[in-house]
Amino acid sequence: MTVNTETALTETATATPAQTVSDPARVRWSQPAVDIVERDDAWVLALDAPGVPGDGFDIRLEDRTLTVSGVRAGGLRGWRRAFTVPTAVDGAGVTAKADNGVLTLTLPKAEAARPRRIAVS
Amino acid sequence: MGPWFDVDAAVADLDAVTRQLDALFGQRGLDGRHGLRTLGTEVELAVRELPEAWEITAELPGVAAEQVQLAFADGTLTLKAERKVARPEGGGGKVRYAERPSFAVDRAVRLPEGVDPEGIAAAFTHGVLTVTLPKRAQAQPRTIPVQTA
Repeated sequence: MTVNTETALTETATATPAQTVSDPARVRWSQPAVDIVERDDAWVLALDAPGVPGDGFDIRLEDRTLTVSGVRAGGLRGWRRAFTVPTAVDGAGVTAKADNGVLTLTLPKAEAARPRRIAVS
Repeated sequence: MGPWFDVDAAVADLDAVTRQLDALFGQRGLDGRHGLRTLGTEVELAVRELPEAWEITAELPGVAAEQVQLAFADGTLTLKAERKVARPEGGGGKVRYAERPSFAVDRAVRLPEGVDPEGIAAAFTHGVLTVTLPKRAQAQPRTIPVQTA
């Protein structure tokens, strides 16, 4: 699983032809339930996406728009949801982990968006 | 609402809501349980009949395979699983969205006769539980060739 996954999609297609989504319009999409926690340094998202293998996710971050989609084994049903992140995000530092049908995403805030403690001298 | 309120009227209102919800969602599942359910925390079972087996699936995201309890006795499959969603409190950050429900599944599904208990198999893949209960040979459909005289 990778972020900005043009390549990952191709890899998925090569690895498991049965899961290839040749026509995304045929996938029946549902909205996954999400938990979002804001930390000082990052946004942490947890999404319920049962049935999606680790390499079945497509995660895109364009500016502050995060789009997450995951196609279930079989290729007919999927989870899809888009978010607008309230702060600038360090795109290169985004990490994703899939575990028992739950996708966890960590989006580090851009340095400028982190709270700063100002010492009084 | 002031310090006093009409308890009977409130209970009657709740009963009406319960009836409406039951009418809306029906008596789901094969286990005959009913009553007020909390929307969103219900784990749905799907039961499919295949020619050679029954297949029961349940979506249990965030549950570890070893936390799923399955048993089959007297033609009834019981399923127990629980998920407690822990969101960070205090120093761990501020919760902005909290949609993922905690749930506790305790379901019993009575199956028609003819299940081969020895052949029951269960798989847990990416948060989806699939239980396959094969039918005994005599319970499987059989095609009968028609002879021409």
